[in-house]
Amino acid sequence: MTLEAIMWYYILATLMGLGAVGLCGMVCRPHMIKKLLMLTIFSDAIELIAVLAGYRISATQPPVYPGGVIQGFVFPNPQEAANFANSAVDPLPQVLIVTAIVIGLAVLLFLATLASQAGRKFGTQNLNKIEKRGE
Amino acid sequence: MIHIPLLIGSIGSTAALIAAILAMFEKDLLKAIVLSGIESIFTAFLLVVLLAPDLLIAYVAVGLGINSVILIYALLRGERYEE
Amino acid sequence: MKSSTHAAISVTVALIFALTVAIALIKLGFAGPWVTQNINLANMFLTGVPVPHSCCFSASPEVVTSVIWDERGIDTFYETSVLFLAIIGTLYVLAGTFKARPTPEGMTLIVRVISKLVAPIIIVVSLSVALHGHLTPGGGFQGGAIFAVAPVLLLAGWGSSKLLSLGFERDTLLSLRVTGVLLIALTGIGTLIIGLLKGVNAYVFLNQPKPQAPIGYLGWISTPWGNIVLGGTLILLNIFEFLAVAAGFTLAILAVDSSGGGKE
Repeated sequence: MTLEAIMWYYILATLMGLGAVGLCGMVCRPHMIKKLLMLTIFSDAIELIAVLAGYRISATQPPVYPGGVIQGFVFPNPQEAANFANSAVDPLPQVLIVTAIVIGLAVLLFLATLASQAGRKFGTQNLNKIEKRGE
Repeated sequence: MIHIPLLIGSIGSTAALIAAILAMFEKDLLKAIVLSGIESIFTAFLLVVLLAPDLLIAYVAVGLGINSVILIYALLRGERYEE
Repeated sequence: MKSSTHAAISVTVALIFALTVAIALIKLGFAGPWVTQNINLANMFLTGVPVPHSCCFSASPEVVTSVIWDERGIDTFYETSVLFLAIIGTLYVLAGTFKARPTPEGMTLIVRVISKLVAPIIIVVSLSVALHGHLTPGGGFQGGAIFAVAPVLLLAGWGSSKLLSLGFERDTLLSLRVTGVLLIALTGIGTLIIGLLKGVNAYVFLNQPKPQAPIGYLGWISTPWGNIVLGGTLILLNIFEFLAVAAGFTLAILAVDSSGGGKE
């Protein structure tokens, strides 16, 4: 196993650890804001694992054809495009995740306003204290 | 010959994991929000290494700026310290 | 149950899930340190999107934006709708808590001057990212997310009275938001309407002419000094998406701010 392969597996392992930390924090921390914080970390880990699945060690450029200018852009012929495809990473995971980041922000906004209203109603955002009030 | 991007990626993912663990065990919520911002910085490094400029442009604005501000606004209603 | 049991269960579940996904991807040959070729679908998009007369030509060198708005355009439209509904939900939850008068307080002179200097630069950068989305990395989502940082800075430095005096009213932003989503839908079904009128075959969210559908949007303008690339629907949809995302997030942040900070 080469050094590159070891580093690839190491990045995968740390990203899985990041997702585990996020999920664990979401489940076992009592404060609502801490849960939301861990939700963002968990979604970061999932996004990075998806992008890592589309990455190749031999790739050297992002999936954007070079030379994008407003005026004077020449569309490539099939041979140039094939050369470009040999050195570019997989665009499909990035396509799926660009929208996921912005949607995640909107959902986080909604959940944060819910947590804010819960704090206004109960005077606390700690779920343990809210459970004790009900007893 | 060592592969420089993967080396930077390894360091960045390790630092992100450490920052996430620190944010999980932090009792002061404001400090935890700042620590998750640090985690976002290293996530952005990893996006650079994995050749995803589109994601990077969206993530730097969202993860570093707006997430933290929204969580701080939500925190104003509750108490700052956990437990 | 104790909290440590919760932690152990959740970590175990997460690790098993991640290991299953990773082993499946690596065993099937889609990912791994030894992969030297992209999968066939990715190669189809990478070799097809910038090349004229190919299967999936989008008149744009930017593969990611092309796939977002061309191949999976209707999916992206529904994701925009999810964003719209999340922001409507935010406003609904916060309804009845808005303060009557804007917050007058601000920060010190340094923060005020710096935020006033930096906010126009952020707005120009976001416009540039959105308008060049079909040529360079970027697009409507990214530009809108960058734009939303400027109101945050102005709110921190000047309070919401400054934003209101600049014209960021709640009703204006909501109508801009609705206009953006509506124009995305109209651009998507535009080819369908023209195809119905002319009696030829057409699809929803069609960009360039296809062999089965001989109509499409203007992809590039040929001038004596070279092509001016427009990308067909890409530039239109990027502008409308920028309008929708930027107005939506500004609206939500303004609503969260004016619902009143601090305990009562």
